[in-house]
Amino acid sequence: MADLQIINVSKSYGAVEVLRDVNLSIASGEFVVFVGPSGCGKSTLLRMISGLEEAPTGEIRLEGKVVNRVDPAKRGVAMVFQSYALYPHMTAFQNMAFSLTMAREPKAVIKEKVGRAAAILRLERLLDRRPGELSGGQKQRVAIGRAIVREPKVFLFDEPLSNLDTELRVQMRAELIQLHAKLGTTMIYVTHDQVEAMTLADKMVVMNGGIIQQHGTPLGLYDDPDNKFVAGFIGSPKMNFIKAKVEAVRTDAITLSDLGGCSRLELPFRNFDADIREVELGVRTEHIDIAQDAGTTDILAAKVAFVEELGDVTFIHTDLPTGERLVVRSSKARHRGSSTECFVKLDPAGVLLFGTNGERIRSA
Amino acid sequence: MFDKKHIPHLLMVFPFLALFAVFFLYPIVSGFVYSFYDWNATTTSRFVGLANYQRIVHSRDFSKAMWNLGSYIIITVPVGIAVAFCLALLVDSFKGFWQNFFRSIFFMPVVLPMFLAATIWRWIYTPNIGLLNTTRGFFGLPSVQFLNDTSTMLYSLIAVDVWVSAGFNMVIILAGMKNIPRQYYEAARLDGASKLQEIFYITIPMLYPVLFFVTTYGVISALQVFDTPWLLTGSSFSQYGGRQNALLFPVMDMMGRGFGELKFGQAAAYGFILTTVIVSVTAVMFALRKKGHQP
Repeated sequence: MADLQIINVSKSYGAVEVLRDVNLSIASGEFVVFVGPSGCGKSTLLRMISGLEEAPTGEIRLEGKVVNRVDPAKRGVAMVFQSYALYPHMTAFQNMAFSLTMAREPKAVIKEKVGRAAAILRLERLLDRRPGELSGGQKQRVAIGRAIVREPKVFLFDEPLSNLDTELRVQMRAELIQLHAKLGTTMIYVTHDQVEAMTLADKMVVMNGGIIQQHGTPLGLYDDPDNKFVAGFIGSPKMNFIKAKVEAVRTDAITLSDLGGCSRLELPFRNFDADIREVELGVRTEHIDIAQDAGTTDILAAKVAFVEELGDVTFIHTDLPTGERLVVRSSKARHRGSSTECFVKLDPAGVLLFGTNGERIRSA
Repeated sequence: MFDKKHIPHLLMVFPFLALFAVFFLYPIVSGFVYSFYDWNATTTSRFVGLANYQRIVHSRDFSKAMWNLGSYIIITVPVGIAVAFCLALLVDSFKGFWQNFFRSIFFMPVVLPMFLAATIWRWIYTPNIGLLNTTRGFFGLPSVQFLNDTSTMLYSLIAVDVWVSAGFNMVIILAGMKNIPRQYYEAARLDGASKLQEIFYITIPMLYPVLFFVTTYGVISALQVFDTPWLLTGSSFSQYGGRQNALLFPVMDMMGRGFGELKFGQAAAYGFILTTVIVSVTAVMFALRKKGHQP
């Protein structure tokens, strides 16, 4: 187990800035997930921690020691690759024993350590097989086993489940959670799948454009995002955004107008900056309801675009007269035909406000 | 049953079949027939049965040529592949312009006409004033008759052949190296493998199919060695093989019997003996590959 600090780390490839002034602290034993869209710099950051990429500026500290110039093999980290990176000419045993073979460990020690890792991952019967004779999930377990054998201070996972089918991914996710509970080692995991990130992480680090947008617990980020990017990236379906004008500002509330073209909404809000005239509302699908009629001014008229019936829940995709799309989660309505008129009502308690720059406007 | 719809198909393959029959099949069949005749192209041919085969197999030149060939293959193929592999590792360690530059430099001997390559090496090997002997003289070492001393002639030939073929093998091995996913090396780096361990545990096993091809191709080419020793020795049908036939090889022996001594029946029989040897060796290599480990 080890704690890790990333201090003012930046990285560029020529003129392209991949990481910009990244600062992050990871506590010992934490399961941290870097999540973000492709090209956001999450894999580069992971590779810099592993030592496979140089960190030209800033510091990476492992257990308090700067490891920027330490050889990858001597950092005490083990990495599981997206492609598994299992040597096709070696058996599962030989793959898992590779680091120990390179270190010329005695055969008895190798057998004992590989056997222990294989027992944790239920791989005992597969040790004589070559990667070509293993399924995707088994290959991934061997790759994890290879990392376990090294007894690292930090495990690094680079999108390890992205080559697996949905069912296997869910199964492997559960196995990783159990493995983390069993080993208690610091784990850093990279994924572009926010569902994977939400289910695995103790701490979630959302990245975009080489910058850490926000980090915190998965539910903390879901409920209280710092900006529109985080709000939109976390959650499935993603958060709805509606533009509105600030009509009136009072000490403990504001009135918004022009929602979806003509509706008005009163929101409790302390010390709103009266200079802000335009905002964007962020509302999660569970904070929108289908209304019976247009009885009050806070009801928005919409047209059903299409419906996703998932059995236990229905997502009704509606279009506002302004062209904005609102997705409503409903556990009641099982079907609503497309192109039908409907009315939706926002729950003020679930409405978040964002400025035109995308930053969150918080109530004081 | 012949189907009429195949007539256009047959018409389309007919030009190839006709050319193949005239220029390949007929010479092969007639060569096989001539191998049982005594014929010098001027007199009437005379059927001699297996006498040509017997004469060849029992001749001293054949034994010498086969001995030379065996020694040549045992040294040239592994040394040639080892040199090509090292060159490929060297080229692979460079990036961008320098990689292209060194790849082109090392490949140059392959595109050089063999005659020119042999001339260059004959000059390098020239006694007293050649490049090698001048260098040796600079260090106070005596001059060596590289192409006239039976103890050095074979090695002198091998050096030229390795120089000529290394570039070709290097390009193939380099292409194989480029196909090895980078993650294997990264995983090995994290696992504490040294550069040498990476080569032995990853590069060589992952290049197994490529190395097999290069070895098979090298052995088949070596079995047919002709032009380099021919050009380094006499370069004529009356004078070839060098001193005490130290550089006499089966193809040279066959050509000499045919175009030097005008014993075309024997030359044809020689050709079929060589073909049998090449096919057998190739079959053995493929059988070994099937038995061996495959990634």
